[in-house]
Amino acid sequence: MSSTEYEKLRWQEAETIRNLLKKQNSLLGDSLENLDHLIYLQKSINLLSLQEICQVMVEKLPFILSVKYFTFFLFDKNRRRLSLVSHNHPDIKEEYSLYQNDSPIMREATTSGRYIFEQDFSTSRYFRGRKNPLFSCNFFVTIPLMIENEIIGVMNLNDNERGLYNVGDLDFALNVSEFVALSISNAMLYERAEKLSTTDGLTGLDNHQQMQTLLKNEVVRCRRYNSPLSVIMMDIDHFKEVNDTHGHQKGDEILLDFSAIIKKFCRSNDVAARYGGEEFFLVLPETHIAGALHIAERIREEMAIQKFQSKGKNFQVTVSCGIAEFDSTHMQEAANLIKVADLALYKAKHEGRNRTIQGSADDLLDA
Amino acid sequence: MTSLTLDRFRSLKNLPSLPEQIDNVLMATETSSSMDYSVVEMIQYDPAMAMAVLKVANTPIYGYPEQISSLQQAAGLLGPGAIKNIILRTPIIERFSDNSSEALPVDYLQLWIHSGVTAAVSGGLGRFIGGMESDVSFTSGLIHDAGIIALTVYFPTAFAKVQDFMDKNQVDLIEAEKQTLGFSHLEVAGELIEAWGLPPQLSQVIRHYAAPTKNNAHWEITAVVALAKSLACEWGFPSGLKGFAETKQENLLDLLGISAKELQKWEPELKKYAEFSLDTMKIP
Repeated sequence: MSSTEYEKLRWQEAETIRNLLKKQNSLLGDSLENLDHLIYLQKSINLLSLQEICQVMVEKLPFILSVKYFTFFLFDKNRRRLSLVSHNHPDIKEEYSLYQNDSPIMREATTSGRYIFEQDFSTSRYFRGRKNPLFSCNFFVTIPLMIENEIIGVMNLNDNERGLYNVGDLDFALNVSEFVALSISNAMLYERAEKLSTTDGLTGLDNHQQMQTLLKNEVVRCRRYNSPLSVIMMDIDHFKEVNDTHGHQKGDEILLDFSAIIKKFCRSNDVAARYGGEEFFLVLPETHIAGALHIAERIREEMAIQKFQSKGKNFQVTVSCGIAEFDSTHMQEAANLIKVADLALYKAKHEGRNRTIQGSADDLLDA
Repeated sequence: MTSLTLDRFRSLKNLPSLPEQIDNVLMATETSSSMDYSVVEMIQYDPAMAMAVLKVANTPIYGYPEQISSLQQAAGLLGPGAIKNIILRTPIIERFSDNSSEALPVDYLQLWIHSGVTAAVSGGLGRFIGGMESDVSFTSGLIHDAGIIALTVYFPTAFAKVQDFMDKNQVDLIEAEKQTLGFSHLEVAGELIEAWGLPPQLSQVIRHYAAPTKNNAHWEITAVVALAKSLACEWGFPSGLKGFAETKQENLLDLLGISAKELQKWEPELKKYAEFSLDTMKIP
C-alpha cells in the first residue's frame, strides 16, 4: 500500500468513526435523558393517593413520553368497566367510564395484555376510518398496565410535535408504564387498606373506631360554633332469636338490609356506623333533636314494614332507637352523648321495643 | 515470551465491532418500521455485539446467570431499549488508530463475514445432525474467533510478535501463540466467555474446536463448529488469518458419525443459511 493510499484509508476511517461517534454520543444523550426522566417521574409519583398520582400524570406524563395527549383508564375486571381517571384531553368530561367491549382497542389490550402500536389510526381496524380532529398526526399507542399479570388499567397515547412515534419512544413508554402501574397499584392497595381499617366489612358502614373519631371531631366543632348535633343509637330487636331461628346467614341479610335503610335516610354529612353486633349509630351534624327523632322514626318504620323470608315463611324485624342531642352545658365530651343515647335505647327496649325514645342530659345524673 | 497474561483479558469490558455494523444496527433501532426482531437478526451475526448482549443477559439481575446462550432468548429478556444501549456502548474498531504506519494485521470485514457464515452453518448443522442445542452451536460458531478479535484489537503488538514467530519458525498460529504468549487465542476466548458469565458450555466448545475429540465436554458441538468453520472457508469465506491449522473435514465427519453424502445433501440448505447471514449483515 502506498503512503498516499494509506493516508486516504486512514482519513476515510477517521471520518466514518467521527460521524459514528457523534451518532452514538447523541443517542447516548437521549438514553441518559430518558433515564433522568424515568427517575424524576418515579420520584414524582411515589405517592399514596391515587388522585395525586393522576394529577402528577397530567402535569408530567405528556412531556416525559413526548406526546401531546394521553388518557389513563382504570380497569375493573369484575364489572368489565374502564373508568377514566387521568387525561389531558380538552374535550373529555371528567366523569367518564365505559364497558370494556365498547372500546375495541382497549378491549384487545386488556384481553391480550399486550400493547398496541400503529402509525395510522385512520387505516386501523380499531377505528375504521375515523379521525380525531384534535390530533395532528395519526399514530396511537395503547398500553395495558399490569401488576403480576393482573391488568389494572390502560394508557392511551396520541399525537406529538414530531409527527411520528418510533420503537425507542415506545420502549420508553413501556418502561414508564411499568413505573406508573406500580405506583397506581400501591396507591390503590393503600386506599383499600385505609378504607378497610375504617369500614365495617359486612355492611360497608363506618366501623366503631371511625365513628368515635368522627363523633369527637363533630363534638369539637359543635362546641366551637355552638351548632346543633344529635345522634341515634339503634338496635335490632330480638336479633339473637332471629339468628337462632333462621340461621346466621339470614341474620347477616337482615343486618345488610337494615344498613341499606340507614344509608337511604343518611344525608351527605351524616355518619352511619355499625356500633357493634346488631347495634348501629348515626351521627347527625347540624341537627336538633326533633330532626333526629324524625329520621329515627322513618328508619324504624321502614324497617318494620320490611319483609324477610325464611323456610317459605315471611317474618318481620323491628328496631329500637335512642336519640340524644349534644348539650354543651351538661355534656363534656362525645362519650356523654353516646351514654345518653344508649340510656334512651335501653328505655326503648324496656318499654316494649320497636320505638324511639328521646334521651336528655338529665339521664346522666340518674345513671 | 511477552509479559501479557490471560488475566488481562478477563478484565476487558467489551469487544469492538465494525463501524458499518454499529451504524446499521443503530439505524434499525431508530426507525419506526423496524420491528424488534430485525435488530436481533442483525446483531446475531456480529460476534462483538452478540457477546455484549449475551454478557448482559447472563448477569444475575435478569435471573438466568450463565444460562442464556441464544441471542433470541437474550433479546426477549432484555427488550429493545436495553439492546440499543448495549450497541451504544459497543466500541468501534479503528484499524488506523495508533499513529503507527501499519494498520491492524487483520481484515476485520473478512473476519466478521467468516464469523457470521460459520454461525449460520454451525446452527444449520446442529439442526440437521440433531441431538444438540442448535442455539449453542450457532452462538459458538459466531464467537469462535472472539479471542482473535480481543488479541488483535487490544494487544496488536503482542499479536505482531506471534505473526513474526510464525513466519520465522514455520509453525501454525496456535503453536506460535503458545510459544510467544504462553496461551492461544482459543484460551483468550474461553477466558472472556467465563469472565463475562456466558454459559460454560460455550467456553468449553471454543477452547477445543481447533482439535475436537470425544474426550471434550460437548464434543459434538465442538466438532460442528470446526466443520462449519472449514465449510465457510471452503465456500469462499475464510477468516483471513494466516496459519490456522484446521482439522480435516473427513476426520470431523468421522467424529460426528455423518457421511460425506449426507453433508452433500445438506449443502444447498446450509449455503442458503450462509447467504441469509450475508444479506442480514448488510456488509458492503
